[in-house]
Parts: sequence; structure tokens; C-alpha cells
Amino acid sequence: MTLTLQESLSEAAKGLLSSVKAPEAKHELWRQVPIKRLRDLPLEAACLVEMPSLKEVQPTSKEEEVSEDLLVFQTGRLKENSSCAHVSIEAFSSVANTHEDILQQLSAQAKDDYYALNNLAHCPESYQLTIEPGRDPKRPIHLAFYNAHNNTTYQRIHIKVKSGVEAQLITSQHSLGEGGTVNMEVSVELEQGARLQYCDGQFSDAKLIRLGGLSVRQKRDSFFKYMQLSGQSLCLRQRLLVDLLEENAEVELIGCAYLAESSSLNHVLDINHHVPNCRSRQLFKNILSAEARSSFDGTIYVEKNAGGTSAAQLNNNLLLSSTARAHTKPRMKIYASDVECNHGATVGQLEEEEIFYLETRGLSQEVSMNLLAWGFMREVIDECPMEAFREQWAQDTLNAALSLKEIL
Amino acid sequence: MLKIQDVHASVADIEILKGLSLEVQAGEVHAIMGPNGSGKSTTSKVLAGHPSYEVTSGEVIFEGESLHEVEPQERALRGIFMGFQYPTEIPGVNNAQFLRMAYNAKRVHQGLDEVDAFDFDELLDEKMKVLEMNPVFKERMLNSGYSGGEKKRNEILQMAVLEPKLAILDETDSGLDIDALRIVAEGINRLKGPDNALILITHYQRLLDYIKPDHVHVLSGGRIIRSGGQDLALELEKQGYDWLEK
Ligand SMILES: Nc1ncnc2c1ncn2[C@@H]1O[C@H](COP(=O)(O)OP(=O)(O)O)[C@@H](O)[C@H]1O
Ligand SMILES: [Mg+2]
Repeated sequence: MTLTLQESLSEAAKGLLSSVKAPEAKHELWRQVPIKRLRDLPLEAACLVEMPSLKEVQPTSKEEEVSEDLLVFQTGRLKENSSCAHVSIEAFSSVANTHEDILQQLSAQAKDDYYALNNLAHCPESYQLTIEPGRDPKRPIHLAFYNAHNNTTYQRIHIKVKSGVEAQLITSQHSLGEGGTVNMEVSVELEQGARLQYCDGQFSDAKLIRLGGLSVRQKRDSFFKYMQLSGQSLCLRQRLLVDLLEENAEVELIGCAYLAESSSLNHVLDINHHVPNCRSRQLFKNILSAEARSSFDGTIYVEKNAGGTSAAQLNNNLLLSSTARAHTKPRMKIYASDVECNHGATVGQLEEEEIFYLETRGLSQEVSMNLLAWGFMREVIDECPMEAFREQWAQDTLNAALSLKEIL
Repeated sequence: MLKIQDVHASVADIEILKGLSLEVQAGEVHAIMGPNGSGKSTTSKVLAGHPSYEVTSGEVIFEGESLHEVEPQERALRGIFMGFQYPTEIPGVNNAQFLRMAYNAKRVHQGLDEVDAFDFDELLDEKMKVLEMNPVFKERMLNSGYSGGEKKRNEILQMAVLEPKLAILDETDSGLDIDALRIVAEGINRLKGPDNALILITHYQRLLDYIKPDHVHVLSGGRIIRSGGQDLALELEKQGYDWLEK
């Protein structure tokens, strides 16, 4: 009996897991992660859960005409009969295991990473989404993930954008109940000249644990922009790995998070310039209140032959309380000459003079501070071209937290 | 309307105001002049309630009530407006939206309904027209990247929207070219009335040609050392402050 691709991936990962342990606090890239919160994490996959009606799911249902193509995932599995124009969807369990290359590549990527291996081992289904020519580039493909509040919901999506195709993608996480664990692995492959803008939305859920990664491989002349909008969570840790494989590829990674209470957010970035004349940019902004924690470990690696590279990395943290903490470590490893690279990081509080100015116009101290916090974020939020989704996120997450009535 | 009684005030433990007294009635325009560093901006910040400026003795009474430990927001809601000498740049906060929030905060304080964006837009357009401001400033970020003159004009726009009882304008004329000065001064004149008062802090007689003061005061070393009518301002322009300080 031959195994399906899904089964053989799972087998391979289980084999590797026998020698990989859960990360410990002493491991450098996990030092700032609240490991304790992950200690008793259930590893088995959640069962299928009841779904709300699609009307509730549809994030843009207020508009008469749906401006997005929606694909709904129920605890990691795509709902039956879902489809989307010019996107071919392939489930790995319907593919016979003749793909040694995929197997090798995926297990190599997950190697050493306990949670990524668990994703490979336990994810009920992996999907290959291939975005074909013919799509309206302004009409986003929306993957809405509905997750169980017990056990772990595994998600694994491989996206391929065909040569010359331009598309927008949204993924949003929705908990059916409160809390739960989401382990999500996404890979993106951009063929020559392909362009993808991807908005990853995470709404506030004080009990949510989200682990996972995004790995991106880009060919010549391709463009990728990732925007992560996140709210409160118990622990959100994400690896972002970008390999710029051919010349004139461009990548932008943008992050925006509002961290309340004892939220924890950890980013580990590796941006690899393997070839000449590629551009990369990262801008991550966090607002931290109460006892929130954030960490940012970003490495830009420019190989010896990657002349003409342009790379920029910036991480700004705004602390709204004296008990919030942000650790930031932007790094550059540059082995090429003729490169234009800059990086920076800030951890700061609101300016007293700015608060005073707003107060003298009749706004309370609290409203003034919240308005300034919004102002701090605006730059990143405005980068997201998917307006309906962006506004929904801003309303539900930022405005709710900042008690502002409307989107500014 | 306003009574400043023998106020001593410090910033960073340095005493700046050393026995300042001033009385302003509704309907009056007062000009405060004085050399650099004499405490003019300190006076305006003390009136607006800046947290770094501490009143160590004396009292400020506005409409019969002491302003002691009254928050800046509360002062604003009671009708005190300070036009900053150096308006703070607030990146990321949209000018029109901020103005509407401030306008609505005042309306709520007065027990009135808030106005929506649509109605406010009309009101704002009207005020901006008087000040000959380009409508693009509605969508620009508050003071952020404005030229000196644009910032000052934006301060007066805020004053026009909030219609304060008492406005303290700290060197609003500096940074304005001649045409802008005339426009802004006309804008300020429109806001004058029998029920409100104006304190103009300025170095130049120029502004007082447009806005006629009832009283002119010279502040030096944290105290008012001379008060008079508009002729005092003319005298100062000719002779400087030295003859007074001796
Ligand atoms: N925040 C501060 N810290 C220290 N000194 C200050 C501060 N603000 C004002 N001063 C000092 O107080 C004096 C009066 O300043 P100010 O009121 O700004 O004068 P002006 O009359 O020119 O407006 C100056 O000597 C100034 O240096
Ligand atoms: Mg001054």
C-alpha cells in the first residue's frame, strides 16, 4: 500500500521528532518567549468543530457585494466544495507520495524546530494553493481559519503564485470559543515576475497561543509584501524566513501589534539575500500596555556575491506602561560590498509634550494617549491595501483597546 | 474673568515667575511684551496647566474658581485656550479628526450632542476659509512637517473651532509673513467679543496695529514691571526694554 504525500510527511516528521525536544528558555531564540505558557500544550490535532453560519463568517457581509473570495477552513481542513476562481487547490492526502523533493524540502525546513515538526506530524491536511493567471489583482483571496478552543489546530498552506500573476491574500484566525492553540505554517513561492500582497490578521484573544512560520522563496523580478496585524494573545511566536533566490526580487515585511495585559509577541526573522540586486524592507511596530512583552530578532544576511542589495529593517516599540518590556535585536550579516543597508530599533514612551498639547485642546489624558498610540500605528496600518479587512481589524482590535469610537 | 495673584512658579526647581499679578476682564485685550527669557511662555504654560510648571505660591483664578490642580483638559473645557509659541508636531494624528474630537469633547462638556464628520466638515471649511487655509490641511497630520507660519495659522484655526472664553496667544505673530499676519489677525478679531478675552504675547508692535490692546504689560524677570496703553508698546518698539529695567 502506498502512502499519500500527507501521510509520508507525517511519518518523516514523527521520525525526526524522536530526537528533537521542546525548546527551553536557555535557547537563544526562545529566551524571550514565555516557555511556561507552552509547557502543557496539547500536541494532538483538534477534532472538527461546529461552524457558525457562513453569514457570520463573511467578514465583509455588510457590503452588498462580496469583495473577496472566501475559503473557510475548519480546524485546519478546507470546507467541502470550497473554491475560488483561478486558484487551484490540492490536498496532500489526495496526492500519492511520489514527491521526494517536497518531502525533503519540508522536512529540511522543519528540522530542529520542534513546533514546525509537530505541525508536519499532526496537521490533518496540507494544501497547495496555486494562483493562476486571470485573477483580479485587487480582489483578495481570503482564507478564514476557524479554530478549536481545545487542543491544537494545525494549519499548513503552500502558496504558489504563477509567473507574472498579481494577487492579494488574506488569512484570518477565528477562535470558536476562547483561547486554543494554533500552529500555522505557510510557505509562499513566487515565480518570475509574480506579485503577492498578503495580510495576516490576528484578532485579540487573551488566551490564544499561536506558533508558526512563514517561509518565502522568491524568483526573479517577484514582489512580496506581508502585513501582519495582531492583537492581544497569550503567546504569539512567529518565524519569518525569506530567501531571495534570483535577481531583482523585492520583499517587504510589515508588522503591527497591539499587546495588552500579559500578551507576548515574538518575531524571529531571517532575510537572506543570496543573489545581487534584491531589495528587502521590514517595519515592525508594537504597542505594549500593562505587562505585555515583545521581542524581535531580525537577521539580514547578505551573501558575498549579493552586491547591489538594498536592505532596511526597523522595529519600533511604544510602551504605554512602566511594566511592559520590549527586546529588540536587529542584526545584519553583510559579506558583500556595494550594498545599501540600514537597521534600527526604538523602545520608547509617549512624549509628555505631545500629550500636553492634546490635553490643552480638551481631550482627557487617556484619550490623548490613545490618540497618540493610534498615530504611532497609522504608518503601518496604512500600508495594508486590503481596506475592508484592515478597517475591520483596526475597529475590532485597535479601536476597542484604545476606546476610540471610529477609525482615524 | 482672570485673576493672577502674586504667582511664583518654577520649572525644574528654578523659579521663573516671581510674583506675577494680572487681571483680565471679559471683553478686554491685553498684550504682554518683554525680553527673551522673561517668563512669557512660562506664564502661558502655567495658565494652560503644563505638568512641569509648578505654582509654588499665589493663585490663578478663572471665572471665580481657583485653577490650582485643575488638569489641562478641564481648563480647556472651561474655556481656556493657549496658542503655543512652538506648536508640538503630532505625527500620525489627522488634523480634521483631531479637531472634531476636540470640538465634540467641548460639546459633550456643555451638554450638547456630538456632531458627525459631515456636519463638522462644513464648520471646518468655513473656519478655514476665513484663515485662507488650503483644504489639504484637513487631511494632513497635526502640525507635522508644517512650516512655522503654517503651524501658527493652525493654532488659530483650533482657536476658531473651539471658541474659547480666554485665549493666550504666545508669539502667534512670529513666523508669519506680512500677508499671513493680516489674515490671522483678522481671524482673531472675528473671535473677539464682549464675553471673551485675549492675552497676546508678542515682541512686535506690528500685531497690535491689527488687534488693538486695551492694556500693554511689560514682563521682566518673572514680574510685570510696567503697564500702560498702546502707547507703551510704541515706546518699547522705539527704545527697547533697557530704559524700563534700570
Ligand atoms: N523646562 C524648562 N527647564 C528649564 N528652564 C526653563 C524651562 N522652561 C523655561 N525655562 C527658563 O525660564 C526662563 C523663561 O522662559 P520663557 O518663559 O520661555 O521665556 P520667554 O519670555 O522668552 O517666553 C528662561 O530662562 C528659560 O530658559
Ligand atoms: Mg516664549
